[in-house]
Amino acid sequence: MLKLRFSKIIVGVFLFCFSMFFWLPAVSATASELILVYEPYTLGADMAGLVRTADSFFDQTQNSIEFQPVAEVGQFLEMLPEADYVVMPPWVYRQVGDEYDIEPLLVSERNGQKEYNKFILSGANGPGTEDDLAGSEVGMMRLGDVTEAVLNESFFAGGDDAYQFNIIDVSKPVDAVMAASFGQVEAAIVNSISFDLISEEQPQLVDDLEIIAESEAFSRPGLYSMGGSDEERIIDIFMEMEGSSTGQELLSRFQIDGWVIKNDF
Amino acid sequence: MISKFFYGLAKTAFFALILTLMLPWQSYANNQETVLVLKSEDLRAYSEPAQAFERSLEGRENISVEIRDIELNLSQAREILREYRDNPPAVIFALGAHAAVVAMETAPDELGREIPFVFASVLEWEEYGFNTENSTGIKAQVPVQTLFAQSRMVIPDLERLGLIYSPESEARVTEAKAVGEEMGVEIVARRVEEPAEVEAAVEYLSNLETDAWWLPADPTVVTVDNFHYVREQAWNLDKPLIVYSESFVRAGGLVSVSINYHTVGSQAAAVVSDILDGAEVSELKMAEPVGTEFLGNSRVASTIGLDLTDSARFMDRVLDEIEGVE
Repeated sequence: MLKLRFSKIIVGVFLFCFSMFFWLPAVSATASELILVYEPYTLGADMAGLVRTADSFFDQTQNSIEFQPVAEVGQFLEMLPEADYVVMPPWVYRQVGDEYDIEPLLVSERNGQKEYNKFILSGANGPGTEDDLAGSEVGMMRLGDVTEAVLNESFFAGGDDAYQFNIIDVSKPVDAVMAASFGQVEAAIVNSISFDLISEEQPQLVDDLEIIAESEAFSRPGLYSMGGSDEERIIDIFMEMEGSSTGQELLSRFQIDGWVIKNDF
Repeated sequence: MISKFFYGLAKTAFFALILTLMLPWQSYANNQETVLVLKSEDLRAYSEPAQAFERSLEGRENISVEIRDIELNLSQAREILREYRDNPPAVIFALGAHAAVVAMETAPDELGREIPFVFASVLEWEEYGFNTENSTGIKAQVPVQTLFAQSRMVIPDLERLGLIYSPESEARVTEAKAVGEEMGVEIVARRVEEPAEVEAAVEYLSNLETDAWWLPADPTVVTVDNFHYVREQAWNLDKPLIVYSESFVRAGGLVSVSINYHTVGSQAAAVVSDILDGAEVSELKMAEPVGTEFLGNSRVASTIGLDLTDSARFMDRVLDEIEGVE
């Protein structure tokens, strides 16, 4: 009697395990997917407002998506392994893309531009050329451990010791611009996305600044896959963002017109 | 006898070889210089710059950064300094007034000579009489022009700024008037002598046309009761209230512009690097702090009919609650 009951239990457990092959994928398909966002140039500090807008947009698309913006690159890199998709600048992709097997999907676009540059801006009493920077104090948004790599990639291809100035790392691009404008540092390094934004909002801050060096063009921040389960669906959602009012609000928070496929990442 | 002689010779040669091999290490140790960071106490205002300072100097060869906390205690400071008597630090980075005074007065006694020092987070540093031949630093308050520029990111039409001050912030107000003239910001100021006069000063300001009010760090003006009164009046008049620290943004100010501790550490590291590279301390002027911690409160913004969505792009953080207000 006991033997019969025991074998029933075993059969029950077996059937349950077998059925998992059918229902588990369905459950995981409806589980929330994490889009991790690090975009330090335009998103700014209103993370709560951004999440509200994003949640409202993704709810409307009837997709279970968790949208998690992060303000600091170190924290972003720590959280990266948990993400299904990421929105980030291309320099982060170049630093960690291979390590995490990250796949570029889309790039952001504004005024028809899919690329941006980095500038070295000289203040009123700053260096006349890039070669005169040695010994100067240069304001730049802090990028943690990848500062040197990004800087060398942008301007100083000669190696890790290629630049000979003191970096004063600030928390946001406008601080670097203000410091150069007010003569608190000799120069500032910012990208054209931030520079354009500051020029539009606070033109007097950039009046006395001169661009003394310009990097090659980089892709604007984009959407990347960390091995998400349904990339086509996410691509569609992002490309159709401009079709709804909440989507437009989200695009406006990113200061972009939309997302497009770009093949040469 | 001969074998004994050769044995002795071999022994001498062996030790000579060992000593020769150790020489590079000895010279490496001699080249290693210490930069001593003295924190007045364990506060974020000191710990954060200290960490940023250490990180900024990480790439520099032959420098070791040692961070010590004097815990507002002179005996503790003396004990710490005595540890460096045989190998004094090349430079001291002093955080806070207590540590800076220790670097100026106690360090020469304990270390046998004056050590150049860089100080930060010292309010009213002019009053301590630091010797400019031997010391320099980063000022502790955000420059007024930076404060005005950031305020204009939230209040683009800022032209008339109301403020209440006491003799304690006279210098700051004088600076604000001068900078305001250059930047097109007229300062409408009301001076008070004691905290009890603040309510009347608020009434006075309420009847004048201003685009925003600014509460500078002034202990006579900013008491708990006075702050609540100023806040209520500002809300009633839909007036943006600019304050000087996060706690006041949490308590109902619209924005605060304060120094960025991390950047202060980074700036101090640049100054110390220059000194280590041979710059004369006397030629290094007191530096204005670069960068800010710019905070806003979206709940306060809604209360006075403002939207922070666009200006938040230039902020470090936006808070979404008012302490003590549901």
